[in-house]
Amino acid sequence: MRLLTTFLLLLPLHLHSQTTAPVIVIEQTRKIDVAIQPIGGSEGPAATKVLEDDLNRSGVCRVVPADSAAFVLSGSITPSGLSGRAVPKAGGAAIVDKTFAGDSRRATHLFADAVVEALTGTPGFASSRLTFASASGGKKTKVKEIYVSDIDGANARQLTQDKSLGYGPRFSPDASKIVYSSDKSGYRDTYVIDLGSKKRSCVAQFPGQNTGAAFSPDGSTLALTLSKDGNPELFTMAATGGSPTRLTRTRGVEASPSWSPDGTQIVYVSDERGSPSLYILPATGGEPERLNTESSYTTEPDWSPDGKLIAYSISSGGGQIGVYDLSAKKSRIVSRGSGLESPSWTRNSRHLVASQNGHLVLLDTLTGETTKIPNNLSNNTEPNTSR
Amino acid sequence: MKYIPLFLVALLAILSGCADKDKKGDAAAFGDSTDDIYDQPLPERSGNPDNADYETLKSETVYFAYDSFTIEAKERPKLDKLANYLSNNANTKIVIAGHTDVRGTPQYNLALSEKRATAVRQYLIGLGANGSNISTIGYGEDRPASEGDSESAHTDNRRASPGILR
Repeated sequence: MRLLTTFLLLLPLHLHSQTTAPVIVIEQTRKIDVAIQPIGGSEGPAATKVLEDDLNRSGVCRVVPADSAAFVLSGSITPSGLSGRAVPKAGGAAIVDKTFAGDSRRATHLFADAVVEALTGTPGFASSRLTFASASGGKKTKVKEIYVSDIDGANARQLTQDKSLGYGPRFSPDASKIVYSSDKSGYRDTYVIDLGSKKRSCVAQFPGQNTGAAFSPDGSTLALTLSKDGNPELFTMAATGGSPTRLTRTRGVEASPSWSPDGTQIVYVSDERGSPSLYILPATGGEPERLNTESSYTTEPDWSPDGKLIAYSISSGGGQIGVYDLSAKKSRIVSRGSGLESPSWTRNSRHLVASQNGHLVLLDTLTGETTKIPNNLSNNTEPNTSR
Repeated sequence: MKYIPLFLVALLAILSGCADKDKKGDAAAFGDSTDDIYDQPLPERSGNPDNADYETLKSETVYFAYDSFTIEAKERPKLDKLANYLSNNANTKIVIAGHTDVRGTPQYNLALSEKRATAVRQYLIGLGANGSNISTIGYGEDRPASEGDSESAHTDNRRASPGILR
């Protein structure tokens, strides 16, 4: 009897000590079959390929021959963009019939997004852009510059020429600005680049470290990590600079703030209770609440645009991506393989862009599939997606 | 789990008077998490840590355990030496450059490396050093002493290096 009691007492303890996270849930998602009629004109073949890749990458469509398709897409390049149509093969009104502005590549991405939105009610992400850091140089001379590209890897362009270590670029909500931190002064300051005027301003250069900044959903405020008081803590301040408001007071370190889409809360990393884990607090300050992700060493939280999910990196286990469901209070690992970090939601709250061993990848959180986002750059880190 | 150096505990207990109000779990073993006893505001910036002389005081480099900013007992004699150097060179400004190994993610590693640097700075202040002469920077995993993924490279890289600003 005594032995049995001991056993019963030990059992739940043993189960509790299992730190392995939640099972990977791979869902088979039903895809909608679409056919693409070749787009005419000199840029037509390239645009047709872009459209096909966008739709396959969307996770909601499968590009098939016309005879087995449910919808047929057609388009023609115009002087100012692309005029695109999507019609049900069974007949009936077009679900998309519109002219999209921009160069043929840009206009094609917009067409793909309109098709995905018409089919699912959720906007596609083919017209989104990425910003990320890319490193070059040796151990004493390594530099990390900030780049932008389309979400399919095309049009990669170097934004900074700082010849120093640049970190954590993030778009403003309207994608007109990028905030990042750089050691170019010798110390780590936070800068905002206006992508239209190409002007840069230093918005935080307090003693110590100024890094990890994220724009609030209305673009007015930055949440960031400052160590000016002697310890890396979370602050908010006006996006144009000014006096910061301190949100945390711990003896550990705080990092990586990400705003809820309504701007009322911030999820961030703290190691106040040991290895780094995720916490949420009100954006105006208050009592932090720890998220139980059932994984240890979780960092880099990113709040989904629909407000329901938080993606994060799991460093234990070699680099995986987890997703925490705020209403179910449950988390699951959504990636396969290893070396993944720095997840950033796309606007559909389903796909993430992440880095994997120095490459950028698109990760479908419903299937666990990754698609490489090709570019010619090495050591790509900390991608962020425009929404 | 991290522990702050015993010396600091003693000092801070004196400074804060009563540190055991609102104890919460292990994290609050040495005081609650909402008082300001860990704040030692950083000085206005001076020099450029990138061009600092990290050779002269190289033997005073402090090493850390994985994911820790605790200054271990075996490292403290180096800081006694460094504090002594600072008191003999009252006009010298130094920077403590914190580093991590390559494991973990960029922003957390930046914060952890900065914390290693500020932990060393606070310890030196506790020994009587003039805090306005001690700046900090955290380089995360991007200025390794040793490259590679071996355990020995990781050990070499988890460090806080004193550099003389010029």
